Amino acid sequence: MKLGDLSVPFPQRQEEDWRFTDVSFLKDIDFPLAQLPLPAPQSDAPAKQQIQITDGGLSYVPNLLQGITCTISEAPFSLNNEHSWDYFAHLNLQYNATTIHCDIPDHSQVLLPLTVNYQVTQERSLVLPRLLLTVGANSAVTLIERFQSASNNYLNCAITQIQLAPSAKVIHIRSQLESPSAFHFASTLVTQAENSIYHSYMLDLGAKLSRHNPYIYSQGEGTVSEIWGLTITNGDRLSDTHSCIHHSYPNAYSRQLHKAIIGDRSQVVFNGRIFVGKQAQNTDSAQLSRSLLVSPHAKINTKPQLEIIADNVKCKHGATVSQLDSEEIFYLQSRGIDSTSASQLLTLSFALEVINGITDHALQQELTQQIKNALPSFDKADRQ
Amino acid sequence: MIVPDSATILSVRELCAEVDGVPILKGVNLEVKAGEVHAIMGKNGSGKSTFSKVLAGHPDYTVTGGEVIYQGQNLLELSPEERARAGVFLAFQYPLEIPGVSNLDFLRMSCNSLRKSKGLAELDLLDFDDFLQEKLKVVEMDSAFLSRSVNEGFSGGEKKRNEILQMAVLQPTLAILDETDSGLDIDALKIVANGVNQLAKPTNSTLVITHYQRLLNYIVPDFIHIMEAGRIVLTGDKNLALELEEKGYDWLKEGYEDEP
Repeated sequence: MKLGDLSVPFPQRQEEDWRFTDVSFLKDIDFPLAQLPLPAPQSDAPAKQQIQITDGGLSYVPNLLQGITCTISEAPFSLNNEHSWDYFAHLNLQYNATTIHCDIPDHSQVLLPLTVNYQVTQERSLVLPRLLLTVGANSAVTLIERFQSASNNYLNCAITQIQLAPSAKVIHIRSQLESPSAFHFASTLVTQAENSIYHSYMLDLGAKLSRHNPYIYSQGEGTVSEIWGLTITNGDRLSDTHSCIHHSYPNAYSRQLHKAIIGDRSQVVFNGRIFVGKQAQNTDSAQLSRSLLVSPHAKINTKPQLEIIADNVKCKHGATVSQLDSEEIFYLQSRGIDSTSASQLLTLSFALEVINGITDHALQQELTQQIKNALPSFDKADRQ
Repeated sequence: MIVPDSATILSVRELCAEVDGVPILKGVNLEVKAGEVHAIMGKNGSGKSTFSKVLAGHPDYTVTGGEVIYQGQNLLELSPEERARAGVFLAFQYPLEIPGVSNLDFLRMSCNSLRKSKGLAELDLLDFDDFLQEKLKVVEMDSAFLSRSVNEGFSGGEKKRNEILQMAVLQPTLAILDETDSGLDIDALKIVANGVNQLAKPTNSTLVITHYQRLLNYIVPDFIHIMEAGRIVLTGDKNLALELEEKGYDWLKEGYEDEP
């Protein structure tokens, strides 16, 4: 299938949303739409709380606990006007009629994290996974999304929608670990009813070219939203994050830290939009973007974008771009650690701040390992 | 302690160094033998901190003249990590914070890099833990400090104690303490000094850099050197510090400026 024949125009560099990310070459690559799998029954000892999405479809019937359901829905799925530029999300909607819908009933404290693994098995294919998670009132759940495939070459256009009912709480851990020659375009759409809490940890560590658009809509009073993002690139990769936290109701709180570690000739784009509408009085919002350039040829384009209409709000933002501190390297060297290992340790330390808030130790260890794997040659250091 | 016929650990001759083209050290001479504790005192800007950083190999300082022989080898040829592995230790005036790296991991990494350079087997977590429990006692540190990130959120006193803990782990031949007393209350000062005293052996030496006499009540030096404008201008025994404390640094000027 050739890209381009949609009612939504194919992205061009002239558009603000695509200024630093050139996707024009994708138009010339033919990506056949992947065949969807048929959900098969699991083995005798089915993995609990695991949802496997293969080539964009549910690959087996999951074994879910605590009244959680997972169905394949054909209910209409639409995007609001904020996403009119989002060609790849529209591509997903146009060619995939089904949504994998997980529902957490009201008043459920889900003990075991719900894990969604996305994998692609068909080389050179276009995959269009779409997940909807609805979380009932006063319920709490940890959602782990992991994008990781044995295939090399594919175009993954994913949509994840998370709807939080009043006073629901979601901890969302998203690891984008796509193959180094894959293309990954994804939108994460979160809507929060009053007093709901959404904490997310978003690691963009893979893909040759990736674009992630986390959009958080505060749609009730007193919501809490946190995004902790980390992008690591090397080689000639490019990773682009366009986030938006959209406040429309009073007394909301939001925090965002986006960190990037950029090596070789790779590029990172970060555009962090915070919108505070007229009704969103007493919004308390802060955003910080911190980038570490570990090569003289690495490139970062980082831009905070604050649009504030309400008149009584606390909003702050900041951006730093730096290299490793020679004083810190010297400190480690003076303890017998060679400069290469010192740089790697400090780079890891810079990265780990992002996942510091994760209280589940095993989960934090897993993410630490993912980060170490993404930092080139870290394991070769004489750190054991 | 002064040990008769002990080996020379450090020999500094006419050492000159600059930072950003500005000369700071202008011919430092110093001889340190095994077992000895030396103190270098001086006003702010006299070059005493620079001296400690040059010995540790800080990249911002350029040596423009003179030589430093450490245990028979040219120290200035070695990288900072090679100096550390050879037994030179600098306790920092302002220890750096390394968020996300646990104190335990850092100490083990540091200890193992030294062991590796000596051809010794690296210590695994269990062996290292046993080794470390002994060292914690030296600075009266709780093992809870080990799971915290290196120096992150530590008080001034805790950071300095952590430096001495690192020193206890690395067991240096030449320990250089740069203004280790700054920012310490009297209790923390006693703990730190007590730690340093426990680590001082007839086979190693200690160089204490300080502005004030206070620390020298607890770490009693065999020699005191006064640094002024990038040179050591006066050397004496521990009583020199008391005299300085009483008369102030300006008193010195009259003394050495008359010298040829």
